[in-house]
Amino acid sequence: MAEGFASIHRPQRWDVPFGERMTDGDVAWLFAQEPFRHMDPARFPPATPLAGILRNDCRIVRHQPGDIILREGDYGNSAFLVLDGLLRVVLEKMPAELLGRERPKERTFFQTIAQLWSNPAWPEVRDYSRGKSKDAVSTRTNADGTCVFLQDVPGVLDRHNTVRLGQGEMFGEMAAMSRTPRTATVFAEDASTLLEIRWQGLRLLRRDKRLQDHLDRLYRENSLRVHLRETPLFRRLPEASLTAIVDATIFETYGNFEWMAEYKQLAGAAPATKIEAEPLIAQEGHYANDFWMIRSGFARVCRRHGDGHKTMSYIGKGRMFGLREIVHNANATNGQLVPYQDSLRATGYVDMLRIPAGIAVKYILPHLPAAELPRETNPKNLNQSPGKLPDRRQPLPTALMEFLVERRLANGTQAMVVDLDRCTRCDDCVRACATAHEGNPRFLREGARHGKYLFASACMHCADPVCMIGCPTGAISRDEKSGNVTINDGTCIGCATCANSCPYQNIRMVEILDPAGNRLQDQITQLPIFKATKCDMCQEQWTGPACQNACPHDALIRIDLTQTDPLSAWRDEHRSGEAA
Amino acid sequence: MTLFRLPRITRGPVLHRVLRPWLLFALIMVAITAWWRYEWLTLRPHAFTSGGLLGSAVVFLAAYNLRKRLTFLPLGSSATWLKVHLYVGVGAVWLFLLHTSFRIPNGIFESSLAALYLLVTASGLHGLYLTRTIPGRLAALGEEPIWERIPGLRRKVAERAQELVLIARDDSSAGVVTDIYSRRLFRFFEGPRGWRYYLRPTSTLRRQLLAELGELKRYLGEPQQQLVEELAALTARKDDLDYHHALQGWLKCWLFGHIGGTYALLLFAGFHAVQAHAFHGGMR
Repeated sequence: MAEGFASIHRPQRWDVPFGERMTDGDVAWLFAQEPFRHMDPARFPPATPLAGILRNDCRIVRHQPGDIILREGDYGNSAFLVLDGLLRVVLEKMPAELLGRERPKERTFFQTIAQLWSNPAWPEVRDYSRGKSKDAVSTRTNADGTCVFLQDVPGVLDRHNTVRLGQGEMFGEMAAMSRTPRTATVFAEDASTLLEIRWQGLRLLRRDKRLQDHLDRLYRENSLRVHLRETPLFRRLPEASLTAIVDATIFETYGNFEWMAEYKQLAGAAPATKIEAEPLIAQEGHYANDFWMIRSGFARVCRRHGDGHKTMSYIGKGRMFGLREIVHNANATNGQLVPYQDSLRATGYVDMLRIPAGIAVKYILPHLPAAELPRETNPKNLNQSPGKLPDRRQPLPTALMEFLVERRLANGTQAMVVDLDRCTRCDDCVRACATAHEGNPRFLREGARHGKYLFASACMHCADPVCMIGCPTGAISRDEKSGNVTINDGTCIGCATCANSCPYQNIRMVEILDPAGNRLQDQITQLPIFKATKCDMCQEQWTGPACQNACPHDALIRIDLTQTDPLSAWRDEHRSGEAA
Repeated sequence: MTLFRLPRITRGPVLHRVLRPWLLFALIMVAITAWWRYEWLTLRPHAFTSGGLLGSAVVFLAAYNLRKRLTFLPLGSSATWLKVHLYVGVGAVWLFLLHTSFRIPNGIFESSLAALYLLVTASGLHGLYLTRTIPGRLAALGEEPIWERIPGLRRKVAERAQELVLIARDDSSAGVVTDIYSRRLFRFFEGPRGWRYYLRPTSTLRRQLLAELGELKRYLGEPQQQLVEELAALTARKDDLDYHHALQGWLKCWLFGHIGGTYALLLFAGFHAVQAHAFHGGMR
C-alpha cells in the first residue's frame, strides 16, 4: 500500500445544493420577497449565511394547475413558500384513488381460490396489455421532477371544502420539522411558483426571530394543545393548566433528519462509539430541570456502566422521561433531591417537547392520582442510597435491548421475529408469502440475529418510515386503518428512492416481466422498468400475514418492537411453553 | 427436551391453557372407549364404529398437508392445525388398538395395512422428535444458512481454502501447509460428507482437523501461522455448513416418508373399508 497522501477538497455541507438550477439572480430576487425582505442577514453565522441558505437549501419549483404539491398522510422533508400563484388546501379527506394510493382491496372468494392456478409462471409479472394498471393516476414530469396531478380540478373544488393559499404563505413546515405525516392535501389551482425549503434550511432560517415565532405560534395553536390533550397524563388537566403548559413548552429536535445515512456509516463502529455519536438530550447525574416528551422518533435511555453505556430501555412517540425524578423531588421532604437517573440519547431523529420542571410540578402533579405516579417515587420503595431511585424492572435482557436499539429495530411496528429454537427451517412462511404475492416472496428468511431470535429481512412498517421521504409520486404511503406502509404498484415509477432510504434493505427493486416472461422496458430509453417491492402484510388476503399464519410451530411472529412489552410477552409465552 | 411443550407448573393461566386440551382429549378417549366396550359387550359390530372413527381421523390427519397448501383461506393457523394434528394422531393410535381389538392382524393385506399405519405413526413421532430437538442445535451455531444455498457457500469456502494454500506455496515452509491440505483438507473442503455423517452428524472430524492444524503452528513463521488460523476458521465454517446441511436435511426429509406413507395408507385404508363393507356378511 502506498504511504503518500492524495489531497481532495474537503466535502462541505453545500457541495450538493437542493436545487441545482438556483442562480445568484434567483437569490437576489428572493431577497426582495417576503419574508426574506425583512430578515436580518447579520443574525446568521458566517458559515451559514442567509444567501447561502437560499442558494443551497432552497429551490424554486413551478407547478401547473391541478398538480398535487403534497398529499395528506405523506411524509416529507421540506416546507413550501408560495411565491406566485394560487393554491388550494383541501380541508377534507380526499378519496385515496384521486391521490394515487388506493387501498388494496381484499380479494373476493373466487380470486382467493384462483390463486391456486392463476399465479403467473414467471416472477414479477405485470400485465400492461390492457393499458395502464387500474391504480395508475395521472403523472407528469417537468424539469422539477415527477408529480401526480388532478384531472378534474373544478370537480374537486365542487366536492370538497378548500381554502386558498396565496403569495407569501408557508405550508408543510410542521411535517417537515417534526417528521410527522402531512395533515392536508395541497394542489395548484393556477400556474404557481413555490420556494421549496428543505428541512435543514428551514431549521437555519428559524434563526430569524419573526419566522421562528411565527412557526412556534402555528405549532402551539394547531397541534400542541391537541397533542397534549390526547396524552393520558394530561387528560385530567383543567383548560387553564393546559394553556399554561402549552405556553411554557419548548420544542427541540435532536439527531439527524436523514439518520439512515449516518446509521449505515456507523454500522461497523464499536458500540460505545455508536452511543456517543447519539445526541444527548438529558444527562444522567444532572439536575432534573425538565420533563421530556417524545413527539416523534426514538430515544435510548442509558446509564454509564464501566467505560461504556448500558441501555436500560428505549422510548418512542408519546413516551416520557424525567417524570419520576421530578415527582420525587417535589415530594422530597428531607431535602434529598435526585438527579436524572439515566441519560436520554436520540437514536435517529427525535422531536422533543420540553416542559420545565416547575411548570410540571405546578400544573401536572396536582391532577395526577397517586395510582398514576411512578411506583419508584413512593417513599416505601426508596432505597437508602442518596441521590438514587430504585431501578426499574427491565422488560427485556440488556443485551437484547442494546441489539434492538443499535440496529434501529425498535423502529418496527410489524417486525418479523423468528424463534430459531422452534423454527424447523421448513420455509412454509416463504412459500405462503410467495403464494399470496403471485409467486413472489416479499421477504428473506435471513437477517440480523440475536441469540435464538432472527429479525428477518421483511418490511417492519416503521414508526419512522424514512422510506416514505422523497417518493416523487407518493406511491409509498401509510395505510390509515392498519398503519402498514404499502407501495402502490401503479404509481411506482421505479426511482428506488425508497429502497435506497430504507436503512434495513427491506425494499427490493425488481425488474418486471410481461405475462409471457418478456422483460418490460421503456419505449423511449429502452431501459428496463423496475418496481419497488416489499412486504405489505398481505393486505389483500383474508388471513392477514400469510407468513405468521403458515408457521406450524409458532416460531414466527409479526410484532411491534416500538414498545418492549409485546416482545417481552412473546418471550414469556414461549418460555412458559417449554419444559417444566 | 419436551415433545408437547408442557408449561411451568407455577403459571396458573398457562397451566389452564395447556392442560385443558389434554383433559378434553382424555375425556373424548374415555367416551370412545366406553362406547366401544358397550358395543363389544352387546355384540354389536364395534369394528365398524372404531374403523369409521379411525378412518375419519386418518383423513383429518392427511388433510393437514392440504391445509398447508391453502394458506390463503381462513382455515385456522397452521400452528393450531399442528396441535390438533398431534392430539388426533395420538388418539388415532388408541383407535387403532380398539379397531384391531388389541390383536395382531393375521391376513397379508391387514398386516400390510397395520404395518403401514404403524410406519406412518412412527415417522410422525420421529418427525415430532426431530422438530423439537434439531432447531435448538442449529440455533446454537453462529450462522443461519438457507439450505438451498449451502452447496454454494461450501464452494466459496473451498475456493478460499485453495487460495490460501496457493499463497502459502510461495513460502519456505510451504510444504507443511500444502501437505496437510492435500492429505487431509482437500477432500474435506471439496465435497459433502459421507452418508454416515448425514445419518449421525458428529464433530469428530472437525476436532481432529483443528487439532492437526493447531499442531502445525510450531513449524511455521508468523505469516504462515495467520494463514493456518484462517484455514482453521474455514474448517470450522465448512463443518458448520455440513452440520446445517445434514440436520436441515433431516428436518426436510422425514416429511417425505411421512406424507408418502400417508398417501399409501389412505389407499390401503380405502380399499380395506370397501372390502369390509362389501364382505361384512353379518349384521351391522
